[in-house]
Amino acid sequence: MSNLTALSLELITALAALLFLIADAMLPKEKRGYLGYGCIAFLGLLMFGALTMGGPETLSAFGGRIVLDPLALFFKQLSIAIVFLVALLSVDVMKKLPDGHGEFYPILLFILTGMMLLAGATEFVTIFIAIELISIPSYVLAGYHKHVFKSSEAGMKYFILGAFSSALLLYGMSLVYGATGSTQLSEISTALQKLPLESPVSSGFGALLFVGLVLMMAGFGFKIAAVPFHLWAPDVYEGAPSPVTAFLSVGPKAAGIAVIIRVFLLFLEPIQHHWAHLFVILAALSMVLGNLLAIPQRNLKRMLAYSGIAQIGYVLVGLVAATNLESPGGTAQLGISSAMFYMAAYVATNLAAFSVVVVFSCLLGKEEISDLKGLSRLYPGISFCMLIALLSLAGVPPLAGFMGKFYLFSAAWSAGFHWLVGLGVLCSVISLYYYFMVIRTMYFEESPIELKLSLTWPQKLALGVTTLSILFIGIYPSCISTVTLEAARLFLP
Amino acid sequence: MFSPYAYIAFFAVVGTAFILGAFAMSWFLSPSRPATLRKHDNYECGETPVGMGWVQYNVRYYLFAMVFLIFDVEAIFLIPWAVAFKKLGYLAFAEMAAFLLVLLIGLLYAWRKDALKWV
Repeated sequence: MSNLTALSLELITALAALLFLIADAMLPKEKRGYLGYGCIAFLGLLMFGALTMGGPETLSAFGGRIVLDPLALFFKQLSIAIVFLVALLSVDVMKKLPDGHGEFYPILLFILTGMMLLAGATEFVTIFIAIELISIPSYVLAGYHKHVFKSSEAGMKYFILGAFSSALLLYGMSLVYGATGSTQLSEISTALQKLPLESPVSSGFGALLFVGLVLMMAGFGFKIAAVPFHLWAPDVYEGAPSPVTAFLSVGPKAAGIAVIIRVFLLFLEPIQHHWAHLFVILAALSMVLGNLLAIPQRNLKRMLAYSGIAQIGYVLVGLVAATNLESPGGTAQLGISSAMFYMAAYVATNLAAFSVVVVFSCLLGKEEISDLKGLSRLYPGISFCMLIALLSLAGVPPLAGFMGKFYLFSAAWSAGFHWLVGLGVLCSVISLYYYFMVIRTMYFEESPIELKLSLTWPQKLALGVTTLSILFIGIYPSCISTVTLEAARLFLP
Repeated sequence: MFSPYAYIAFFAVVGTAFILGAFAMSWFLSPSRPATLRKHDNYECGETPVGMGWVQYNVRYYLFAMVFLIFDVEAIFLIPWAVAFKKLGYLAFAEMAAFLLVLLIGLLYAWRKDALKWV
């Protein structure tokens, strides 16, 4: 029975997805619009259930292939929150489509199943299945506006590059399996402690393991869109329907960070001197290139794509701070906790920004930064949400993004990565420029046209929830940080 | 004496040599006839082809192929389960029922969305 308890959230979600699939097939066409509201209600209930599940005990199920610990539970709750907000944003966009909007919600719920499964998976094959359960529906969603050329292109690009990265990941896993003799992370961890691995490349096993790790890192790096595996992101973000872009900019990143924390920092920790340097490089490159390339963007979604790349660089700084490259021992809990905190802050912030983009592109069909001209006079409420979101992304106090960066950089500083902290702060200053360009367009330029926007309640709810979360997390950060510190107790020596 | 990987290398070399050898033999032994127009047809004997092979196929073929996958996967899992049915017991029966239910939902969906109709 404990097997099913550990998987209860995933099973319920998968069953609900099947029910929505049947409902979409069986309901008459004019009633399918209600499916979205049903999905929102279901996700709200699921969120409530997941929040009450909390507890410090660790459940191990299916022979150690799946665990339910505070770390997994945190990312499960985060995943439900993401999909809930995306469902709120999607309802009105999907209603406008001429056909087939009912499939959207089962697809979304299948992705959620994959994300939650990934958060608790501790075995390579389970991890791979969970990742594919996220990826394959995501390809479909990216091309969901099938009559729009750009959306089809986005789906195709995402599919080809995503399939390639999944192959890399699987190949990397097979090499690690070859070197250690197991697909279970706990057994791999014990096998690694026995192997003599001082010089990675000179011994045959070391080389096998090292190549496997690099390939796995490339596979995960693609999912979280870290430089140099980011090339798909701007095109896919721009072409995909806006609510889907909102999902892609946070969902796969949260799931990817969860699996990186579990695989690399928890179980491959004994050989961290082989892979930690590579994460330092990924973090530094993502921060620098993401921020620099965001500057010349004119399309709001492309700009947010590059800003998302930069943000994932900051999260990776937290993961780097959890290694003991520079200072031996002691900072793992702080680093992981700060990365998790930043991920939660980033989800709230980025979804707030994307709520505005979705509202805008749904009602007017415009997504350029210059189209926001004079928004503040006509719609002070929406502009305020965008203002809060952009300031939080830039890391201005007292918002969620600032507290996140503060935790991240202080963890990295005490771990001894002084130059990386310097680079991060410098990049945040650069990012102020392009975030403020948007704010300037909204607040200090005249609108050439009269806009007519009327928000529906799901859009209002999404905007309100995300904006209030940014403010709340910024002012009262310990509501999240106590949870993340508790979850990161796994990493205490 | 050899590492297990040496056998893989050995089989790779022998396998490649065998295929190349077969091609070389047929090239060496076969009588040489100059190519005629007929020889370049898609089917050298039988139906005379109409038009080019590079036409756009109707997308419905792919749809049917995908629906066929439901039955294909079903058969792959059902046969080993049926063979070992007595040993596996009721838990396996319940699991297989759940699996069939999921596939059935897929078929139901395809049917309701008119994927089975040839319009």
